Amino acid sequence: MQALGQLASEKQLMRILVVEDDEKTLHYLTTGLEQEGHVTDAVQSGTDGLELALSRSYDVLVVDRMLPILDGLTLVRTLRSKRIWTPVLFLTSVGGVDDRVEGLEAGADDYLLKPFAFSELLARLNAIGRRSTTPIEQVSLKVGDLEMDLLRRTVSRAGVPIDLQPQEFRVLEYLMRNPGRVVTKTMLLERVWEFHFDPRTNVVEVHISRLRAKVDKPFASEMINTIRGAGYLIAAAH
Amino acid sequence: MPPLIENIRSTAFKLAVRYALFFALSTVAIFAITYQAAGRHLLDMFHASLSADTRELIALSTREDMAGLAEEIQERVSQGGANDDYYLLLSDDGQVLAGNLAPTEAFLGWREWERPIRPGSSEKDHLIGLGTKLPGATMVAAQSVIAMSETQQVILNTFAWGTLISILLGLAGGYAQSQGPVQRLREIAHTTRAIVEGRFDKRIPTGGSRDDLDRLSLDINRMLDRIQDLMQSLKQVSSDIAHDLRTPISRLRQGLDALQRRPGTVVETQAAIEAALKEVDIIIDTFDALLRIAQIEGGARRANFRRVDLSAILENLTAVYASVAEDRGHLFEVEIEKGCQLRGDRDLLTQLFANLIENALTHVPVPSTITVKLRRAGKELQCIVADEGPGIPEQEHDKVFRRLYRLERSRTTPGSGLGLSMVAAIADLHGAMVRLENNRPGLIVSVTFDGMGQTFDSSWPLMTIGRQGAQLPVG
Repeated sequence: MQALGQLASEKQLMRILVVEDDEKTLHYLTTGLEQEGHVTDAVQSGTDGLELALSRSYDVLVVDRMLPILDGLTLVRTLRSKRIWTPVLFLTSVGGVDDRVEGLEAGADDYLLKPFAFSELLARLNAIGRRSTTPIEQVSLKVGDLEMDLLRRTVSRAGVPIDLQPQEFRVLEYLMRNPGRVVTKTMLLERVWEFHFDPRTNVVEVHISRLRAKVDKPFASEMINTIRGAGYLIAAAH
Repeated sequence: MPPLIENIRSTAFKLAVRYALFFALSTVAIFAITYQAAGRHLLDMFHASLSADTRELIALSTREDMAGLAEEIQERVSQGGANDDYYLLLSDDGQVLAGNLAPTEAFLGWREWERPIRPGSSEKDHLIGLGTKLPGATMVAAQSVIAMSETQQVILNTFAWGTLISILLGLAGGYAQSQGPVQRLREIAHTTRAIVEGRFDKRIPTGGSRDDLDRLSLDINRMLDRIQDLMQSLKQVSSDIAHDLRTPISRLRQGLDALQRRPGTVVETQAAIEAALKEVDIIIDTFDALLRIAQIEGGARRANFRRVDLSAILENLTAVYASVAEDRGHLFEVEIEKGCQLRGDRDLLTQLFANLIENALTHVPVPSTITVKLRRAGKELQCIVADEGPGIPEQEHDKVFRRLYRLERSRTTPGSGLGLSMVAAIADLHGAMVRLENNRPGLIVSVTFDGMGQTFDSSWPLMTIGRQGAQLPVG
């Protein structure tokens, strides 16, 4: 088990704009993000947020959905209409079943329901902050000596073919698309299976343990790491 | 309100009054036209008769002479005696040669005028006359039109009475007509007032007449049933929430309290914080689930319905959960007919069946066979999730869909008691029917949707289903 700090070399530091009207939450967010080494700008109103987002360059925006005067949805729609494609993560406490769809349709890249675990926020920011620089069309993925052929749907490690079930393949593909970055349980559920609810069974753990049995066990070193209280991370074995 | 005033204020009565007024107005219009036409006709008759009379007298004057004419006129005046016919033959030098009109009443052409019936009398006679210039004299022939006025008066009176009677009949009829509906509305008002006062079990009495008011009453009663159900479940839920959240909140408090009184090592403190966060997460999850159920029940989500492939949803779900089932030592049987489509919400349908599959996975002792099937049956799509576990006692079948309801034996296993409420809410949103049946042993949960797209009889074998399936009036 590795702590987050050990993987700092893999982590990219980002310039983040946080737009959140609740002072306590804003403080919690900026302190947490800065502890991780990110640089933050913090504003409490949608209009200030829009002004900053238009005038400065950020790697990612964290925007509360409910803001006085100019709400988060409008802020993102305005940005997108001005052809500013900075990744946006919505925070909301509404918990509405349609909010996710509405937020994504407005142009947000991800969506997180308050209250949330900070590790979940970090993982998601890393995932979307990186997205803009990654080519979308890839035919193969490679992490260390682990290789995945996306066309033939085959996996091999150090040249040894690994036979995966389709669900295991999908989980591994998502991990490998985020090498060196924490992938939370919720992200796996949402992105791999489109489960937008919290399962009561250990469905994620079962798949991870099956993957480990095939990807790690037969080999000398482990690539799939469990990050305590956060999620999973795939990285080249040391 | 006194019944008379209530009746007068009733819609039926107002309608009757409006009709009576409308009828009266049309009667008046018809009368006015008739009256006008009759008057004109009578006047024309006077004109014709006076013209003919004048022509006859002129002919006489040319055949004989002025003296002969005067004689004839005088004869007519004395013969008639009546007040109806009037004549005047006035010589150019101002001498009355014959007639019963005053010399001042000489004129030429047509004229209408009034004169006293007798000299000095205040009673007036209305005359119409034609004056003609003869050689050396002026002749006026006139008739009293008082008879015509009298006829018109009679017509007027007749119509006035007729109109009055028809209005009165209309009002009386309207009043009588309004009696029935007013009585029914009084009953409805009585019931709604009782409900306002808190007697929620009151219902409007309905007859078998199936008229509009009866249908309205039935609808109102249905609405009241629904409101009563909602109130009941609201009451139930609020006390259940309070009760169910007490446990994690007191555990949380105990943990924090212990930590404050006896701070341990860093590792111990970390563990205590982790335990506290876990309890908080349980509380948040329960709230989120309750909120979600409430929102689903609100029905707004129906606006996002799209055509979804239920077969694909179930294939994805069963592929994911097969590993979990296998991991726990269960047999997982899947029979999914391809291409079963319906209008719905993909995410929610996924959650519905995930809940059912997870229920089976968590409540069933190992080893057991868990079966997931989907098939078309005519226009319907039938999906079942069956297990061979302890099942649910039949007397509890309708209770398990309540929020936070948990069977006694599952109190100790993890779960919020909201899974089946969520299932019921999502099914209801999709107009689907959820049934619990006995699998002997185990439980069969069947969900039946109205499908869309192709429908055909499938050769897929029907499974034997227990007879005592509890039909669930979801929603």
